[in-house]
Amino acid sequence: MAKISIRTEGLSYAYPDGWKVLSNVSFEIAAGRTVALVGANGCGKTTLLWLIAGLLEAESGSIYIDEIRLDRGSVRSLQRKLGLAFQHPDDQLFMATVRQDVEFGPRNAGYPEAEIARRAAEAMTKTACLHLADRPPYRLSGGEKRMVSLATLLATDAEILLLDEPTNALDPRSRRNTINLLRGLDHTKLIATHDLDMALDLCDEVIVLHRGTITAQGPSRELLSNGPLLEAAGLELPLSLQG
Amino acid sequence: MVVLTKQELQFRQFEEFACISSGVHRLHPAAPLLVTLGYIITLTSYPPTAVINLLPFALFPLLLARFARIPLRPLVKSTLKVLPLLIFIGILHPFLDTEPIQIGTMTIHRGWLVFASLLIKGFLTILANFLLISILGIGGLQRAMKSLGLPPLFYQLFTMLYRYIMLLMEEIYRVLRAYELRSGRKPKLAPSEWGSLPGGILIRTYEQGLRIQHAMELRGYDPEYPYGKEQPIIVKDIFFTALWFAAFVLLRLESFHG
Repeated sequence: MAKISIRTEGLSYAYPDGWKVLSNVSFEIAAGRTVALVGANGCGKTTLLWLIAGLLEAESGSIYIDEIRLDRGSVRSLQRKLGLAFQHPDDQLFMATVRQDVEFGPRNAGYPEAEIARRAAEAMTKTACLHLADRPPYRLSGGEKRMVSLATLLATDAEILLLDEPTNALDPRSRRNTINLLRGLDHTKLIATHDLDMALDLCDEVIVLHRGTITAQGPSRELLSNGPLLEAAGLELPLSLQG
Repeated sequence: MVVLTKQELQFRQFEEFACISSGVHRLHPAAPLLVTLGYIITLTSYPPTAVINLLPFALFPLLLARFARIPLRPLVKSTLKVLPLLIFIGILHPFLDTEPIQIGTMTIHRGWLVFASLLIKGFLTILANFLLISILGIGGLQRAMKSLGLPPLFYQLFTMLYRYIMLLMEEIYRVLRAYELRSGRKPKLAPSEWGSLPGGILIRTYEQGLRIQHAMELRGYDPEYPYGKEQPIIVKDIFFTALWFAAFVLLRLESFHG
Protein backbone atom coordinates (compact mmCIF):
# COMPACT_ATOMS: atom_id res chain seq x y z
CA MET A 1 0.00 0.00 0.00
CA ALA A 2 1.39 3.41 -0.99
CA LYS A 3 2.55 5.79 1.71
CA ILE A 4 0.13 8.63 2.35
CA SER A 5 1.79 12.05 2.13
CA ILE A 6 -1.17 14.25 3.00
CA ARG A 7 -4.32 13.27 4.85
CA THR A 8 -7.03 15.56 6.18
CA GLU A 9 -9.95 14.50 8.36
CA GLY A 10 -13.04 16.64 8.90
CA LEU A 11 -11.15 19.86 8.34
CA SER A 12 -13.08 23.08 8.93
CA TYR A 13 -11.96 26.65 8.98
CA ALA A 14 -13.68 30.00 9.48
CA TYR A 15 -12.12 33.44 9.20
CA PRO A 16 -12.26 35.70 12.29
CA ASP A 17 -15.25 37.54 10.81
CA GLY A 18 -17.21 34.28 10.93
CA TRP A 19 -17.07 33.45 7.22
CA LYS A 20 -16.81 29.66 7.03
CA VAL A 21 -14.41 28.87 4.20
CA LEU A 22 -13.95 25.13 4.65
CA SER A 23 -16.32 22.60 6.10
CA ASN A 24 -15.60 18.95 6.90
CA VAL A 25 -12.89 18.49 4.28
CA SER A 26 -11.41 14.97 4.19
CA PHE A 27 -9.07 13.53 1.58
CA GLU A 28 -5.76 11.77 1.22
CA ILE A 29 -2.94 11.95 -1.30
CA ALA A 30 -0.50 9.09 -1.81
CA ALA A 31 3.22 9.81 -2.00
CA GLY A 32 4.45 10.88 -5.43
CA ARG A 33 0.98 11.67 -6.79
CA THR A 34 0.08 14.92 -8.50
CA VAL A 35 -3.34 16.15 -7.49
CA ALA A 36 -5.23 19.20 -8.73
CA LEU A 37 -7.44 21.16 -6.38
CA VAL A 38 -10.07 22.85 -8.51
CA GLY A 39 -13.03 25.06 -7.75
CA ALA A 40 -14.50 28.48 -8.42
CA ASN A 41 -13.00 31.66 -6.97
CA GLY A 42 -13.39 31.89 -3.21
CA CYS A 43 -14.16 28.19 -2.70
CA GLY A 44 -11.29 27.79 -0.21
CA LYS A 45 -8.39 26.42 -2.30
CA THR A 46 -5.76 28.82 -0.99
CA THR A 47 -7.03 28.49 2.58
CA LEU A 48 -6.74 24.70 2.31
CA LEU A 49 -3.13 24.98 1.09
CA TRP A 50 -2.31 27.39 3.93
CA LEU A 51 -3.85 25.01 6.48
CA ILE A 52 -1.78 22.09 5.15
CA ALA A 53 1.34 24.28 5.23
CA GLY A 54 0.66 25.03 8.90
CA LEU A 55 0.18 28.76 8.30
CA LEU A 56 -3.39 28.69 9.62
CA GLU A 57 -4.82 26.64 12.45
CA ALA A 58 -7.94 24.60 11.68
CA GLU A 59 -11.11 25.28 13.62
CA SER A 60 -11.69 21.54 13.80
CA GLY A 61 -10.37 18.39 12.14
CA SER A 62 -6.85 17.11 11.60
CA ILE A 63 -4.06 17.21 9.04
CA TYR A 64 -1.43 14.48 8.76
CA ILE A 65 1.80 14.92 6.83
CA ASP A 66 3.55 11.58 6.26
CA GLU A 67 1.18 10.20 8.92
CA ILE A 68 2.38 12.68 11.55
CA ARG A 69 -0.32 14.91 12.92
CA LEU A 70 0.24 18.60 12.20
CA ASP A 71 -0.05 20.56 15.44
CA ARG A 72 1.84 23.28 17.31
CA GLY A 73 4.47 20.80 18.44
CA SER A 74 5.19 19.30 15.04
CA VAL A 75 4.59 22.24 12.71
CA ARG A 76 8.22 23.44 12.48
CA SER A 77 9.64 20.00 11.67
CA LEU A 78 6.83 19.16 9.24
CA GLN A 79 7.21 22.46 7.42
CA ARG A 80 10.67 21.28 6.34
CA LYS A 81 8.92 18.60 4.27
CA LEU A 82 6.61 21.13 2.64
CA GLY A 83 7.20 23.72 -0.04
CA LEU A 84 4.47 26.28 -0.68
CA ALA A 85 4.51 28.38 -3.83
CA PHE A 86 2.34 31.41 -3.20
CA GLN A 87 -0.20 32.65 -5.70
CA HIS A 88 1.86 35.80 -6.33
CA PRO A 89 5.61 35.16 -6.68
CA ASP A 90 6.27 38.64 -5.26
CA ASP A 91 5.22 37.26 -1.87
CA GLN A 92 7.86 34.59 -2.15
CA LEU A 93 10.87 36.50 -3.42
CA PHE A 94 12.32 38.91 -0.90
CA MET A 95 16.11 38.82 -1.17
CA ALA A 96 18.36 41.17 -3.15
CA THR A 97 19.28 38.65 -5.86
CA VAL A 98 17.81 35.46 -7.30
CA ARG A 99 20.80 33.44 -6.05
CA GLN A 100 20.33 34.71 -2.49
CA ASP A 101 16.64 33.87 -2.64
CA VAL A 102 17.28 30.33 -3.85
CA GLU A 103 20.04 29.86 -1.24
CA PHE A 104 17.75 31.12 1.54
CA GLY A 105 16.17 27.74 2.38
CA PRO A 106 19.33 25.57 2.37
CA ARG A 107 21.24 28.22 4.33
CA ASN A 108 18.56 28.30 7.04
CA ALA A 109 18.67 24.50 7.12
CA GLY A 110 22.31 24.83 8.16
CA TYR A 111 23.99 23.20 5.16
CA PRO A 112 27.69 23.95 4.54
CA GLU A 113 28.49 26.61 1.92
CA ALA A 114 29.46 24.10 -0.80
CA GLU A 115 26.18 22.21 -0.39
CA ILE A 116 24.18 25.45 -0.41
CA ALA A 117 25.84 26.48 -3.68
CA ARG A 118 25.31 23.02 -5.19
CA ARG A 119 21.62 22.92 -4.28
CA ALA A 120 21.03 26.45 -5.54
CA ALA A 121 22.81 25.77 -8.84
CA GLU A 122 20.89 22.52 -9.33
CA ALA A 123 17.52 24.15 -8.58
CA MET A 124 18.24 27.08 -10.88
CA THR A 125 19.40 24.74 -13.66
CA LYS A 126 16.23 22.63 -13.37
CA THR A 127 14.05 25.73 -13.59
CA ALA A 128 16.18 27.26 -16.36
CA CYS A 129 16.92 30.40 -14.37
CA LEU A 130 20.64 30.02 -13.76
CA HIS A 131 21.26 33.00 -16.05
CA LEU A 132 19.14 35.15 -13.74
CA ALA A 133 21.18 34.29 -10.63
CA ASP A 134 22.63 37.74 -10.04
CA ARG A 135 19.54 39.75 -10.97
CA PRO A 136 17.20 41.29 -8.40
CA PRO A 137 13.91 39.32 -8.32
CA TYR A 138 11.69 42.42 -8.52
CA ARG A 139 13.08 43.22 -11.98
CA LEU A 140 12.13 39.86 -13.49
CA SER A 141 9.14 39.16 -15.72
CA GLY A 142 6.13 37.28 -14.33
CA GLY A 143 7.22 33.99 -15.93
CA GLU A 144 10.78 34.35 -14.64
CA LYS A 145 9.53 35.14 -11.13
CA ARG A 146 7.36 32.02 -11.24
CA MET A 147 10.34 29.85 -12.22
CA VAL A 148 12.54 31.40 -9.53
CA SER A 149 9.85 30.85 -6.90
CA LEU A 150 9.79 27.16 -7.89
CA ALA A 151 13.59 27.07 -7.70
CA THR A 152 13.42 28.39 -4.12
CA LEU A 153 11.33 25.32 -3.21
CA LEU A 154 13.45 22.81 -5.13
CA ALA A 155 16.59 23.90 -3.29
CA THR A 156 15.05 22.90 0.05
CA ASP A 157 14.33 19.46 1.53
CA ALA A 158 10.65 19.68 0.61
CA GLU A 159 9.09 16.37 -0.41
CA ILE A 160 5.59 17.77 -0.84
CA LEU A 161 4.88 20.78 -3.03
CA LEU A 162 1.79 22.90 -2.48
CA LEU A 163 1.39 25.09 -5.53
CA ASP A 164 -1.11 27.92 -5.68
CA GLU A 165 -2.01 28.75 -9.28
CA PRO A 166 1.43 27.90 -10.74
CA THR A 167 0.41 28.75 -14.32
CA ASN A 168 -1.48 31.91 -13.45
CA ALA A 169 -0.67 34.86 -15.76
CA LEU A 170 1.94 32.96 -17.76
CA ASP A 171 2.33 33.19 -21.51
CA PRO A 172 1.80 29.90 -23.42
CA ARG A 173 5.49 29.03 -23.60
CA SER A 174 6.16 29.79 -19.92
CA ARG A 175 3.03 27.80 -19.03
CA ARG A 176 4.28 24.84 -21.07
CA ASN A 177 7.73 25.09 -19.45
CA THR A 178 6.15 25.14 -15.98
CA ILE A 179 4.04 22.08 -16.77
CA ASN A 180 7.06 20.21 -18.14
CA LEU A 181 9.08 21.15 -15.09
CA LEU A 182 6.37 19.96 -12.69
CA ARG A 183 5.93 16.74 -14.65
CA GLY A 184 9.62 15.96 -14.16
CA LEU A 185 9.50 16.32 -10.36
CA ASP A 186 9.13 13.27 -8.12
CA HIS A 187 7.56 15.25 -5.27
CA THR A 188 4.01 14.77 -4.07
CA LYS A 189 2.18 17.76 -5.54
CA LEU A 190 -1.09 19.42 -4.59
CA ILE A 191 -1.88 22.10 -7.14
CA ALA A 192 -4.65 24.65 -6.63
CA THR A 193 -5.59 25.81 -10.10
CA HIS A 194 -8.17 27.23 -12.47
CA ASP A 195 -6.16 25.88 -15.39
CA LEU A 196 -8.20 22.73 -16.00
CA ASP A 197 -6.27 21.89 -19.14
CA MET A 198 -3.11 21.78 -17.08
CA ALA A 199 -4.88 19.63 -14.49
CA LEU A 200 -5.97 17.25 -17.25
CA ASP A 201 -2.50 17.14 -18.75
CA LEU A 202 -0.44 16.92 -15.58
CA CYS A 203 -2.43 15.59 -12.65
CA ASP A 204 -3.25 11.99 -11.70
CA GLU A 205 -6.25 13.02 -9.63
CA VAL A 206 -8.57 15.95 -9.10
CA ILE A 207 -10.28 17.20 -5.96
CA VAL A 208 -13.31 19.38 -6.69
CA LEU A 209 -14.04 21.96 -4.04
CA HIS A 210 -17.33 23.84 -3.97
CA ARG A 211 -18.23 26.40 -1.31
CA GLY A 212 -15.76 24.89 1.14
CA THR A 213 -16.68 21.24 0.76
CA ILE A 214 -15.30 18.48 -1.42
CA THR A 215 -17.85 17.41 -3.99
CA ALA A 216 -15.67 14.86 -5.81
CA GLN A 217 -12.24 13.27 -5.80
CA GLY A 218 -11.03 10.91 -8.49
CA PRO A 219 -9.00 10.36 -11.65
CA SER A 220 -8.52 13.64 -13.50
CA ARG A 221 -9.73 12.45 -16.91
CA GLU A 222 -12.92 11.04 -15.41
CA LEU A 223 -13.84 14.08 -13.33
CA LEU A 224 -12.71 16.76 -15.75
CA SER A 225 -14.84 15.31 -18.54
CA ASN A 226 -17.92 15.31 -16.29
CA GLY A 227 -19.71 18.46 -17.45
CA PRO A 228 -22.59 18.46 -14.93
CA LEU A 229 -20.18 17.94 -11.99
CA LEU A 230 -17.98 20.83 -13.08
CA GLU A 231 -21.02 22.99 -13.84
CA ALA A 232 -22.33 22.42 -10.31
CA ALA A 233 -18.96 23.52 -8.90
CA GLY A 234 -18.99 26.74 -10.93
CA LEU A 235 -16.49 25.41 -13.48
CA GLU A 236 -16.46 24.51 -17.16
CA LEU A 237 -15.02 21.65 -19.14
CA PRO A 238 -11.33 22.08 -20.04
CA LEU A 239 -10.90 23.82 -23.39
CA SER A 240 -9.34 20.71 -24.89
CA LEU A 241 -12.54 18.73 -24.14
CA GLN A 242 -14.97 21.36 -25.38
CA GLY A 243 -16.42 20.69 -28.80
CA MET B 1 4.48 59.50 -9.16
CA VAL B 2 7.47 58.95 -11.40
CA VAL B 3 9.70 60.42 -8.69
CA LEU B 4 8.35 57.85 -6.24
CA THR B 5 9.11 55.01 -8.64
CA LYS B 6 12.69 56.14 -8.99
CA GLN B 7 13.04 56.64 -5.27
CA GLU B 8 11.64 53.20 -4.56
CA LEU B 9 14.11 51.68 -7.00
CA GLN B 10 16.94 53.65 -5.43
CA PHE B 11 16.16 52.21 -2.01
CA ARG B 12 16.01 48.74 -3.52
CA GLN B 13 19.36 49.47 -5.13
CA PHE B 14 21.01 49.71 -1.71
CA GLU B 15 20.38 46.01 -1.16
CA GLU B 16 21.81 45.26 -4.59
CA PHE B 17 24.99 47.15 -3.71
CA ALA B 18 25.34 44.83 -0.71
CA CYS B 19 25.95 41.99 -3.20
CA ILE B 20 29.05 43.67 -4.65
CA SER B 21 32.27 41.82 -3.92
CA SER B 22 34.84 44.17 -2.38
CA GLY B 23 37.28 44.18 0.52
CA VAL B 24 34.85 46.27 2.58
CA HIS B 25 31.96 43.88 1.83
CA ARG B 26 34.08 40.94 3.00
CA LEU B 27 34.76 42.52 6.40
CA HIS B 28 32.94 41.25 9.49
CA PRO B 29 29.64 43.20 9.45
CA ALA B 30 30.32 44.62 12.93
CA ALA B 31 33.33 46.58 11.56
CA PRO B 32 31.43 48.90 9.16
CA LEU B 33 28.63 49.27 11.73
CA LEU B 34 31.05 50.35 14.48
CA VAL B 35 32.91 52.69 12.15
CA THR B 36 29.67 54.32 10.98
CA LEU B 37 28.51 54.70 14.58
CA GLY B 38 31.88 56.26 15.50
CA TYR B 39 31.57 58.59 12.53
CA ILE B 40 28.07 59.74 13.45
CA ILE B 41 28.94 60.21 17.13
CA THR B 42 32.05 62.25 16.26
CA LEU B 43 30.18 64.33 13.69
CA THR B 44 27.31 65.16 16.01
CA SER B 45 29.66 65.92 18.90
CA TYR B 46 30.74 69.18 17.24
CA PRO B 47 29.26 72.40 18.61
CA PRO B 48 26.07 73.64 16.92
CA THR B 49 27.92 76.44 15.09
CA ALA B 50 30.71 74.25 13.66
CA VAL B 51 30.74 74.39 9.87
CA ILE B 52 34.30 74.51 8.49
CA ASN B 53 35.46 71.78 10.89
CA LEU B 54 32.79 69.43 9.54
CA LEU B 55 33.94 69.60 5.93
CA PRO B 56 36.79 67.03 6.23
CA PHE B 57 34.15 64.53 7.36
CA ALA B 58 32.78 64.45 3.81
CA LEU B 59 35.87 62.38 2.99
CA PHE B 60 34.52 59.39 4.95
CA PRO B 61 31.60 58.52 2.64
CA LEU B 62 33.69 59.39 -0.41
CA LEU B 63 36.54 57.07 0.58
CA LEU B 64 34.38 54.27 1.98
CA ALA B 65 32.19 54.21 -1.14
CA ARG B 66 35.35 54.13 -3.27
CA PHE B 67 36.83 51.23 -1.28
CA ALA B 68 33.51 49.38 -1.39
CA ARG B 69 33.13 50.05 -5.14
CA ILE B 70 29.68 51.51 -4.53
CA PRO B 71 28.62 54.39 -6.82
CA LEU B 72 28.01 57.38 -4.55
CA ARG B 73 25.68 59.20 -6.94
CA PRO B 74 22.47 57.21 -6.20
CA LEU B 75 23.18 57.43 -2.47
CA VAL B 76 23.65 61.21 -2.67
CA LYS B 77 20.48 61.53 -4.73
CA SER B 78 18.49 59.60 -2.15
CA THR B 79 20.02 61.68 0.65
CA LEU B 80 19.08 64.90 -1.14
CA LYS B 81 15.44 63.77 -1.02
CA VAL B 82 15.62 63.98 2.79
CA LEU B 83 17.11 67.47 2.65
CA PRO B 84 13.71 69.29 2.70
CA LEU B 85 13.03 67.65 6.07
CA LEU B 86 16.35 68.96 7.44
CA ILE B 87 15.57 72.43 6.06
CA PHE B 88 12.14 72.26 7.71
CA ILE B 89 13.73 71.34 11.06
CA GLY B 90 16.35 74.10 10.97
CA ILE B 91 14.81 76.92 8.97
CA LEU B 92 13.78 78.98 11.98
CA HIS B 93 17.30 79.19 13.42
CA PRO B 94 18.47 82.11 11.23
CA PHE B 95 15.42 84.12 12.27
CA LEU B 96 15.33 83.28 15.98
CA ASP B 97 19.05 83.22 16.76
CA THR B 98 20.23 86.65 15.63
CA GLU B 99 23.32 86.95 17.80
CA PRO B 100 26.03 88.49 15.55
CA ILE B 101 29.18 86.47 14.95
CA GLN B 102 32.36 87.83 13.35
CA ILE B 103 33.93 85.61 10.67
CA GLY B 104 36.96 87.39 9.23
CA THR B 105 35.62 90.71 8.02
CA MET B 106 32.04 89.45 7.81
CA THR B 107 29.37 89.55 10.48
CA ILE B 108 26.50 87.08 10.29
CA HIS B 109 23.74 85.85 12.57
CA ARG B 110 24.68 82.85 14.69
CA GLY B 111 21.46 81.16 13.50
CA TRP B 112 22.81 80.86 9.95
CA LEU B 113 25.82 78.94 11.22
CA VAL B 114 23.58 76.63 13.29
CA PHE B 115 21.39 76.08 10.23
CA ALA B 116 24.37 75.28 7.97
CA SER B 117 25.88 72.99 10.60
CA LEU B 118 22.58 71.13 10.98
CA LEU B 119 22.31 70.62 7.22
CA ILE B 120 25.87 69.30 6.92
CA LYS B 121 25.58 67.01 9.95
CA GLY B 122 22.17 65.73 8.84
CA PHE B 123 23.24 65.19 5.25
CA LEU B 124 26.43 63.33 6.14
CA THR B 125 24.71 61.22 8.81
CA ILE B 126 21.97 60.07 6.44
CA LEU B 127 24.49 59.46 3.65
CA ALA B 128 26.60 57.35 6.03
CA ASN B 129 23.53 55.29 6.97
CA PHE B 130 22.61 54.67 3.33
CA LEU B 131 26.21 53.66 2.68
CA LEU B 132 26.10 51.26 5.63
CA ILE B 133 22.95 49.56 4.28
CA SER B 134 24.63 49.42 0.85
CA ILE B 135 27.61 47.62 2.33
CA LEU B 136 25.87 45.25 4.72
CA GLY B 137 22.37 44.78 3.37
CA ILE B 138 19.67 44.09 5.92
CA GLY B 139 21.00 40.60 6.73
CA GLY B 140 24.51 41.91 7.41
CA LEU B 141 23.16 44.66 9.61
CA GLN B 142 21.26 42.08 11.65
CA ARG B 143 24.39 39.93 12.02
CA ALA B 144 26.38 42.99 13.06
CA MET B 145 23.81 43.87 15.73
CA LYS B 146 23.77 40.30 17.00
CA SER B 147 27.57 40.11 17.18
CA LEU B 148 27.59 43.33 19.21
CA GLY B 149 25.31 41.67 21.76
CA LEU B 150 22.10 43.56 21.01
CA PRO B 151 18.97 41.68 22.14
CA PRO B 152 17.17 39.70 19.36
CA LEU B 153 14.00 41.75 19.84
CA PHE B 154 15.93 44.87 18.80
CA TYR B 155 17.14 43.57 15.45
CA GLN B 156 13.90 41.70 14.79
CA LEU B 157 11.96 44.93 15.17
CA PHE B 158 14.50 46.76 13.05
CA THR B 159 14.27 44.21 10.24
CA MET B 160 10.50 44.11 10.39
CA LEU B 161 10.28 47.90 10.21
CA TYR B 162 12.74 48.06 7.32
CA ARG B 163 10.89 45.44 5.28
CA TYR B 164 7.52 47.01 6.12
CA ILE B 165 8.68 50.43 4.93
CA MET B 166 9.91 48.89 1.65
CA LEU B 167 6.57 47.15 1.08
CA LEU B 168 4.68 50.27 2.09
CA MET B 169 6.53 52.33 -0.50
CA GLU B 170 5.74 49.78 -3.21
CA GLU B 171 2.08 49.70 -2.20
CA ILE B 172 1.84 53.50 -2.12
CA TYR B 173 3.38 53.59 -5.58
CA ARG B 174 0.90 51.00 -6.92
CA VAL B 175 -2.12 52.77 -5.43
CA LEU B 176 -1.01 56.20 -6.61
CA ARG B 177 -0.34 54.85 -10.09
CA ALA B 178 -3.79 53.21 -10.20
CA TYR B 179 -5.34 56.45 -8.94
CA GLU B 180 -3.49 58.51 -11.50
CA LEU B 181 -4.57 56.29 -14.38
CA ARG B 182 -8.24 56.40 -13.40
CA SER B 183 -8.52 60.00 -12.26
CA GLY B 184 -7.96 61.73 -15.58
CA ARG B 185 -4.29 62.30 -14.62
CA LYS B 186 -5.10 64.62 -11.74
CA PRO B 187 -1.78 65.71 -10.31
CA LYS B 188 -2.78 65.45 -6.64
CA LEU B 189 -5.14 63.43 -4.48
CA ALA B 190 -8.24 65.38 -3.51
CA PRO B 191 -8.62 65.67 0.30
CA SER B 192 -11.93 63.80 0.13
CA GLU B 193 -10.16 60.81 -1.40
CA TRP B 194 -7.55 60.59 1.31
CA GLY B 195 -9.99 59.11 3.81
CA SER B 196 -10.07 55.55 2.50
CA LEU B 197 -6.68 55.31 0.78
CA PRO B 198 -4.22 55.22 3.73
CA GLY B 199 -6.19 52.54 5.58
CA GLY B 200 -6.34 50.31 2.52
CA ILE B 201 -2.66 50.81 1.79
CA LEU B 202 -1.64 49.95 5.36
CA ILE B 203 -3.82 46.83 5.52
CA ARG B 204 -2.65 45.52 2.15
CA THR B 205 0.97 46.17 3.11
CA TYR B 206 0.43 44.36 6.42
CA GLU B 207 -1.10 41.38 4.62
CA GLN B 208 1.72 41.18 2.09
CA GLY B 209 4.24 41.48 4.91
CA LEU B 210 2.53 38.55 6.61
CA ARG B 211 2.69 36.44 3.44
CA ILE B 212 6.39 37.20 3.02
CA GLN B 213 6.96 36.31 6.68
CA HIS B 214 5.18 32.99 6.04
CA ALA B 215 7.29 32.36 2.93
CA MET B 216 10.43 32.98 4.99
CA GLU B 217 9.33 30.74 7.85
CA LEU B 218 8.40 27.92 5.48
CA ARG B 219 11.98 27.99 4.24
CA GLY B 220 13.34 27.64 7.76
CA TYR B 221 13.83 31.27 8.75
CA ASP B 222 14.07 31.90 12.47
CA PRO B 223 14.03 35.61 13.33
CA GLU B 224 16.31 34.98 16.31
CA TYR B 225 19.09 33.88 13.96
CA PRO B 226 20.08 36.53 11.44
CA TYR B 227 20.37 35.31 7.89
CA GLY B 228 23.79 34.96 6.22
CA LYS B 229 27.21 33.44 6.49
CA GLU B 230 28.78 33.24 9.95
CA GLN B 231 32.26 34.75 10.02
CA PRO B 232 34.80 35.35 12.77
CA ILE B 233 36.33 38.75 13.58
CA ILE B 234 39.88 38.76 12.24
CA VAL B 235 42.84 41.16 12.28
CA LYS B 236 41.80 43.13 9.18
CA ASP B 237 38.40 43.89 10.79
CA ILE B 238 40.11 45.28 13.88
CA PHE B 239 42.63 47.18 11.75
CA PHE B 240 39.86 48.73 9.59
CA THR B 241 37.89 49.82 12.65
CA ALA B 242 40.91 51.13 14.55
CA LEU B 243 42.17 53.11 11.56
CA TRP B 244 38.90 54.95 11.04
CA PHE B 245 38.45 55.57 14.75
CA ALA B 246 41.98 57.04 14.90
CA ALA B 247 41.11 59.34 11.98
CA PHE B 248 37.91 60.54 13.68
CA VAL B 249 39.67 61.16 16.99
CA LEU B 250 42.50 63.05 15.28
CA LEU B 251 40.04 65.26 13.40
CA ARG B 252 38.11 65.94 16.57
CA LEU B 253 41.24 66.77 18.59
CA GLU B 254 42.46 69.01 15.77
CA SER B 255 39.27 71.05 16.02
CA PHE B 256 39.75 71.40 19.80
CA HIS B 257 43.21 72.89 19.23
CA GLY B 258 42.13 74.87 16.21
